[in-house]
Amino acid sequence: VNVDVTMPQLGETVAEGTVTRWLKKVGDDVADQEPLLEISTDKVDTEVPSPAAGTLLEILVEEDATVAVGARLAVLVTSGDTSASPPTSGGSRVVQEESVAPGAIAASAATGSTSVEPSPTRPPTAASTSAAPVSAQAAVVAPRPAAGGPRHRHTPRVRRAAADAGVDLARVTGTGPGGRVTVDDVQRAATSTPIPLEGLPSQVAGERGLSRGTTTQGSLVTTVVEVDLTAVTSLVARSGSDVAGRLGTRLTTTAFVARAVVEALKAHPRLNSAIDPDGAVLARSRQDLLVTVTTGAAPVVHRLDDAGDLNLLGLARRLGAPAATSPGPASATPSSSGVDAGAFSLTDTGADGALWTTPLPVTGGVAALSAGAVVDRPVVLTRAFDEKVIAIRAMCHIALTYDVGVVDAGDATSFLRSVKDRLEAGQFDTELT
Amino acid sequence: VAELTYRDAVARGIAQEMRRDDSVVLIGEDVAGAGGVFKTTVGLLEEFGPRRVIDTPIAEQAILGACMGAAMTGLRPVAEIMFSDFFAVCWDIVVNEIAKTRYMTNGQVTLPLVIKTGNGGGLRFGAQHSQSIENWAMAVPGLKVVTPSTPEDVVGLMAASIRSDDPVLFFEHKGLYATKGEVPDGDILDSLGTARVRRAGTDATILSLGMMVPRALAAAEQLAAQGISAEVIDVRSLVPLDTTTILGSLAKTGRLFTVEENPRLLGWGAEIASIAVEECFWDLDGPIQRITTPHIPLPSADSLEDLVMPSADSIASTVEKALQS
Repeated sequence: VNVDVTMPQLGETVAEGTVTRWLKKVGDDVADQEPLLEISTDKVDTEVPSPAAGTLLEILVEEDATVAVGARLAVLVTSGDTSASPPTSGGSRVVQEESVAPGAIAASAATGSTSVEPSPTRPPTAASTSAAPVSAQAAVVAPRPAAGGPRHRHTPRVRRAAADAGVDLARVTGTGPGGRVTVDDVQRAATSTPIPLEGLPSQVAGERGLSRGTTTQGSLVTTVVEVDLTAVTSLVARSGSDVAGRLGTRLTTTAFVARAVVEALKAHPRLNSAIDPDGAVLARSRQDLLVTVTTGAAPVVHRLDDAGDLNLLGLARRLGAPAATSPGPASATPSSSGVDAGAFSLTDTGADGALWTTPLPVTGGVAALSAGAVVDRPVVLTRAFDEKVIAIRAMCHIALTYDVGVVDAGDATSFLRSVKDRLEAGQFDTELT
Repeated sequence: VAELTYRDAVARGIAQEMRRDDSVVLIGEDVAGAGGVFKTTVGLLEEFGPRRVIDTPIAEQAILGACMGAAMTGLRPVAEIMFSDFFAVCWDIVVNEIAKTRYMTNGQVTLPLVIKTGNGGGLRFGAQHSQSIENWAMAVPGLKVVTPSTPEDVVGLMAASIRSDDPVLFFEHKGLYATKGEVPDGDILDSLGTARVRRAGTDATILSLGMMVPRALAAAEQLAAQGISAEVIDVRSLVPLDTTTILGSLAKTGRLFTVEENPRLLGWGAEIASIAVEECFWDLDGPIQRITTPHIPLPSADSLEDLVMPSADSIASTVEKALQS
C-alpha cells in the first residue's frame, strides 16, 4: 500500500512550510514515526515523522522548496505491502501482513483529523484518563448527581419567569429536552392555564369562596391618585369634531382612560387575572374591559372583548355604540361565560360630578378602576430650575380597588402610576389620525 | 487599511508608541538584532537604534529587574519574556515587586511597564513551551492581563498597555502569529478591560480568549447548521474584566460556556462562572459549562496535543449536548 507523506499543519494558522532536509533517500527503509525529513515553517523548525513503517518510494518535494500545508511530500510503500515493490529494494524481504489504519496515518500527519468524542459533563478529559496519572483531576471533574428529582429541575431563568407571570410550575407541561419546562412553556401557561396563586393566603381564598356574590370588602383596598387631564381634554377639544365627522364617533375622556388602562393591564398582568369559583387565580391572556359610564339617569355598561387589540379610536367607537347589554350596575352578577367573568371593570362617574367613587371588581375580578369628574383647578407646577408656578389644569381623581390577596400594593401603585403617566403625557396623536 | 499578520501587528503597535513617546524602550532576548525569535519585533532596532531596542543575555530575572528599574526612573519599558512558561523563573520579581510597588509605596512609585510574551500551545512545543498562563497572572493583585486574538487588537491593545500607568502582562498567542487580518491605517488606541462580541447569537454565550476565539467562531458556525444561535465573545482582557458585556450576553441567552486553553483547575472561566452565578443566577437557563484542556501538562505528541486542547468540534458538541439535555 502506498502512503502519502504530507506537509503537516504545525500550529493552527501556519499555511505553508519549507522542506529543509531529507533524512532518508529514496529506497531507504523507515520505521513508523522515524524522522523522515526536516521542515521549517514561519518559526517552527521540526522533523516530520514517517506515518508508517515502510520504504521511501518517491520524494516529491526537493529541499528548499516551499509548499502548502497538506501538500504531498513523498510516497512510502508500507512494509506489509506485497503488490508494489520498491525500486531499489535489494534481496528478499520478509513480508508481513500489517495493515496500517488510516486513522493512524491521519494522526501522525498531524492534520488534526483525530476525532475526539468528549463527554458532555467532562470536556476533553476522557483521553487523558488512560494516558496520565489523573486521579486528582478525575476526582475534581466527576459528574455531580442531579440535585433532586424532576420536580426540582427548573432552571433559575424558568423559575423567575414563572414567578413574574404568577405561574405554578408544577402545573406546566415541559416541551424542552427531556420534558424540561422552558421559558416559552411558562409564557404559554401564563396566558392559558388556570393556576392557584402562590402566596395567596388560604383564608383569603376561602373567604372569597364563601363571600362570592356577597361582599369581599375584607380583602379589598382602594387607592386614589390625582391625574392631570389637561393634555387629554385639549386633544378632545381639538380633535373631537374631526373624529365625529370622519367616524361618527364621539371622542370622550373615557376612551383615553380605557386606552391607558388597557396598556397598563398589559404591563401588569396580575391586575388582569381572575378568580374561578374554586378560588384558583387565572391569568388572562386578553385585556377585556367592562366599562360603566354614568350618563344622567342610568349607567350604561359596555362589554369590550379584546380591548387590548383596539387603539384609541377603536375604543371610542365601541364606547359610542349602543350598549351591548341592558343597563345595570357594574357589580351585577355577569353571565357565566364571555368577557365579564372576572373582566377588569372601569367606571366613569364624571357626568355625575362625583370627584371619585369606590370602584368594585366584578365577581371573579381582582381589580376595578373609576374616573371621577374632570374639574379645572389651580395646581402648583414645577418647571425648569425648580421654578414653581400656579396654573389652571383639568384635574381628575382616579381610584383603583384591588384584591390584596391577589395583587400586592406595589403592583397596584405601579399600575396606577402607568395610567397616570400615560394620560398626563397625552401622546395619542398617532392614534387620532 | 492593510492586511497584517498578528506577529507584524506586535511590532507595529510597539513602533507606534515608540514614535509617539521617547520614553518607550524595548528589552529582551533577541528582540533587537534578530527581530525576535517569533519575529514580533522586526524593524524596531533599525528604526529606533540600540539605545531603545536592547538585546539581553538569557536571564529573565535580569530582564525584568532592568525593566522595573527603568519604569521606576521614568521610562515606559516593554520587556519580552520569550515563552510565557519562563515567567516561572522570574515570578518573584513579577509577583512580589512589580505587582506590589504602587501599593507598598503608597502610590509614590508606579510602574508603567509591559511584559509581552509568547503564550499558548498547539505548536508541538511540548509541556514546557506551550502553556497558557493567564491564570497565574490574574491571580496576582496589581497586574493587568491582556490577550488579543486579532492583528487589529494587537496594535490597539499594545498601545493601551504601553500607555497604562500600571504593569500589564501582554499575552501573544504563538498559534496566532501567522494569522492575518485587516488593520486600519494610522494610530490605533484600544481600551483595556473591554470584551468584543465577535458573533451575535441568542441561544448560548461562548466566552473565548486568544487562539480559542477562532475555534469558538468555527464551533458557532457548526452550531448554526444545527439551528443553534451561539454568541461568541472575545474576552480580550481578564484584568480588568468586562463584566458588562459578558453578563449582558448571559442575561440574553441564559447559557454560558467558557473555552479555555489552560488546564481545567482554577482557569479564568471558573472565576467568570463564579461571577455569573453571583450576579446573574436568575438568568441562568442551565449549568455553566467550561471547555478546557484537562488538568495535565500539555503533551508534545501532535496527536495527543490535538486531542486534549479544545477544538471547534469539541466546543460545538459540548454546547449542542448541553442545550439538548
